[in-house]
Amino acid sequence: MMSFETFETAFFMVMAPSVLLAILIGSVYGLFIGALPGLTATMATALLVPITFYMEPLAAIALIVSSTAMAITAGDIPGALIRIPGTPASAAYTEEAYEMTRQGKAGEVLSLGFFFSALGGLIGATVLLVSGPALAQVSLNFSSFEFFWLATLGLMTCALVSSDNPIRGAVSLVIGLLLSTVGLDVTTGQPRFTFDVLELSGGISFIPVMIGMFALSEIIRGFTALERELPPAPKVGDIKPYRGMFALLRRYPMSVVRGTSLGSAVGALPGVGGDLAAWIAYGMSRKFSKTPEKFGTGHPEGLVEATSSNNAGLSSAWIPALVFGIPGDAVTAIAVGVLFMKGVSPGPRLFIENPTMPTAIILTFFVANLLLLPLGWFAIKGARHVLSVPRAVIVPMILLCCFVGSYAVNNTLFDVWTMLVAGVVGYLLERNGFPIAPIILGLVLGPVLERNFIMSMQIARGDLLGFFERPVAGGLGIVVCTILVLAIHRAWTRRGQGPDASDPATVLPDVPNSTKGNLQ
Amino acid sequence: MSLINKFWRHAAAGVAGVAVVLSAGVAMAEWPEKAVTVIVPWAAGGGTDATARAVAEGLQKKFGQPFNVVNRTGGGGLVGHSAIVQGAPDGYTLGVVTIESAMYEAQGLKGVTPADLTFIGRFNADAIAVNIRPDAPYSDLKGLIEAVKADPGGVAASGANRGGLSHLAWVGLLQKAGIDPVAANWVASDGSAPALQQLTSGAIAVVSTSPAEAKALVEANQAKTIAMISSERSPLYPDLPTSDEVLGIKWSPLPFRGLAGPKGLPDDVVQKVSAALKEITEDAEFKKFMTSRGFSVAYQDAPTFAATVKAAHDGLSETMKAVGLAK
Amino acid sequence: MKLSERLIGPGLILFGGGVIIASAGLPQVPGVRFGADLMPSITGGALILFGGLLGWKAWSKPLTEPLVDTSEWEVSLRKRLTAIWTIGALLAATLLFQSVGFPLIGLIFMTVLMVLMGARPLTIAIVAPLFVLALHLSFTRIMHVELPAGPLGAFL
Repeated sequence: MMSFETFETAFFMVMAPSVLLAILIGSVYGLFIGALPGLTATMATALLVPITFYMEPLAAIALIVSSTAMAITAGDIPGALIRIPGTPASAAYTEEAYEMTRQGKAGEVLSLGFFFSALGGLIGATVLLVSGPALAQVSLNFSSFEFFWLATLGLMTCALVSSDNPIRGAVSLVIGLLLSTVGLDVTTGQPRFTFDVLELSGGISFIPVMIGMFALSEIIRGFTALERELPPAPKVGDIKPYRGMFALLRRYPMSVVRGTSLGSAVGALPGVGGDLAAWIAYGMSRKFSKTPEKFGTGHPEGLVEATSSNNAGLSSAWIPALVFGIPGDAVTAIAVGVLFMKGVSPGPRLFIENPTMPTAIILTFFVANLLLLPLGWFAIKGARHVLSVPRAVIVPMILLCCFVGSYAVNNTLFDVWTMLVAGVVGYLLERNGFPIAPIILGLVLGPVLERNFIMSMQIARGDLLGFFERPVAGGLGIVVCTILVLAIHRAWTRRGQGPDASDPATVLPDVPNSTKGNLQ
Repeated sequence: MSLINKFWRHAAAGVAGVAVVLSAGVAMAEWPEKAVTVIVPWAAGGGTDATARAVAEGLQKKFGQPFNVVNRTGGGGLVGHSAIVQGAPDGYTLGVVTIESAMYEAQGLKGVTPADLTFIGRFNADAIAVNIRPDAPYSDLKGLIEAVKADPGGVAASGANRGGLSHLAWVGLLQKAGIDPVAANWVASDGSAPALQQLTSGAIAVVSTSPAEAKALVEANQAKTIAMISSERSPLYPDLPTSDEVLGIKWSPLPFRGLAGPKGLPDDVVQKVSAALKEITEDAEFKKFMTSRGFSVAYQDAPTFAATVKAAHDGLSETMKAVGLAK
Repeated sequence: MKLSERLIGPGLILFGGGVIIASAGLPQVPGVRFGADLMPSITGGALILFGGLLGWKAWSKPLTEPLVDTSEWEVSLRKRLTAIWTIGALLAATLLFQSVGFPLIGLIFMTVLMVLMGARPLTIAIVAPLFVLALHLSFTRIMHVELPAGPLGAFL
């Protein structure tokens, strides 16, 4: 694929002090941004653009690569510690991670996040290095039909795994999808459900909703009799970063393999990218697990699979951007812009005329992902301090973070209102046994689903069989339909076996939905 | 500086602020004395964003204050354009406007009309191009139009949102070539990138977008640019024929990118920024950057730019009505 | 507040019906077969279906729980006050944010909430101003998020 000289030149380009320094600064900055709720990797990248004006091309890209890799990984920290997911992807397993923290395993869950993110990232970077252009070629053959089925697959697995009662999961999902339809409609350009509120014409942003539904609702619950106590903070020296990670790796090797291959494959598809991979990975992990009943009770297996797919997808999101100049998400879009400004034009010619540049960019992924481990070590050690803050201090702090974080998304108070409403609604939904996670995914993927559905319908001119005509789309469609039929079949047969075991009304009313599995 | 000192300085600034209100315009001579926000209504990484960032960098160098680019996306650009309209007209909220700002009114979308904006200057204008698959049964615009004539609904085209300029450019072209624009199959997408993805995957046949955005795919032989929807050839793409010369029609919708501010922007701010923009567009490095991405540099001063937008607003409304995009 | 499925089911059906009616009222554009109303109509239909399933299950077996259960709010007065202050103060903070500014709002909000939640006075005196200051500076200086400074802005 590439000559050794190319590799060698690229290697020494990356080893230049300025590039290494850029990676270090980017990582520290990413850690900071990712750990602050409400600030996203996209925002972190956008803020870096003015700085990149004054840098060499490779150092500029290294800065962006390392800060996003770190910001996305660090986004798991507030999720695990205070139940505020940093990214839509981490919302897939926030509940599970927080459950582990509540059981006093904060050190383990954070170690797991950093360790398997780094592992996933390294494997993803290898995939990128070996088969980048080939994967890009495959991804170019994905049309709206395939995207539609992929989005459906992600949404369906999410509804099925996030609750013991699939109907309740499905209701949450539908509410999320409905929220996503607010705003100017992409087909006709007309306002839809905006009630003449200008801010609503841009749609409901998912970050305030995510902050409200996860964090604010948890705080509201803390004021009621349903308060969930956090365990006493671990003592100094009790948190041992990365202890037991190799044991986990040996116990769940297939999770890592599945997670990273799924992440690499889905991440390479422009537009869907990393958000979806973690959700499908988490669902898949439960499907293949020997102990699916432990999911949602603070079980590491699904976390291993989802976090490793997360960072693998992060690397391969650069494939379409580098090879064809089609950025898959906002982060790569900004990076492509920076490359152009530096006179490096992404595209197939880049790989032929100047192969050291793309190779060097991919190599920065290795360095950035390796750097996750030492920086993560400090973050994990520091987690003790977050957990040892008394409730009377941390709750006001979280609330202020929620407030400013929501405001920062668009610099509008409207998003703060969204967060407040989402918090109250999220509390009520959870109290009534409806899971939160599918709402977030519905909101994030709703536009993807709708656009690809409408586009496909327009292309097929209303013929639903058109969704099965293309080979890959047909295959995906059959998978989706099979899962759906199996789920309905299982629900039906379970209904036949005596009283409704899955009905939340028959179990303890005061445990959040996801913990019910092992209490029955 | 001590806190007290700082306090007095701010108090003084406050008093000065009141004085400004009382004797409007006097203190504006000092613009800009703090960071300026530049709103971009389109997503980060796209063509508008890239050019806006280059312009903002130039302004930052000229005025010695940060010009922060903020992407306010959504609703086919309406959200960001509205944010520019609603900004305070004090010179600290500026924005990059695109031709869509002249089209919302005709579509029946409220909030943004050219009259709500103060135009400062244009820096870019590139015609829309027609892109097809390299393995299509036709290889030029004539063949494509024949194919559309034979089966208007069968040749699916895309580019961006319904009612946006790329849509209008395509159906306008069809209408001038004697094809009923309502029968044409327009697949609404979120922008040129997803539309090009549909093209390469073989789901649709035509993408109308600026040649710059299709450049990398054309180089990879995944797409083919066959013509510009314009009346004169572009100096950047001299080999591309225009739709006017191929089909013998007259149709040249020209999308633009320019700087604007809210209505009532002080005159001296407009003068200063417009003059700075002129210098930036004449800067060799800026020109090099624009050319490398396939964007042309096309400066217009404030009055000319305002006239251009007005002409687009009036002219496009007519065509939009004719092709069923406006009421 | 926890509602019985006997109420949730019909509630979802009504909501779904409302969504379908609202979607039908969306503007139609000539030449567009699959427009703005398609997706909301589908979600409305799904809400009716799932609401029907939940409601049917609940109504077909005897009622074992109260229709509306608000027992979780039977907590100490102090806790209830804290909850009311939190929600009320968040609403007030949002309303007054632009005019009063983040530093002052944040300071008042944190101090009162920490008092209500029983933090020690010394902790409050140290933590509240420092945290608000750190948050304000990191957002405005590092992240370029323009938080309104308000009257305290002169000192920052």
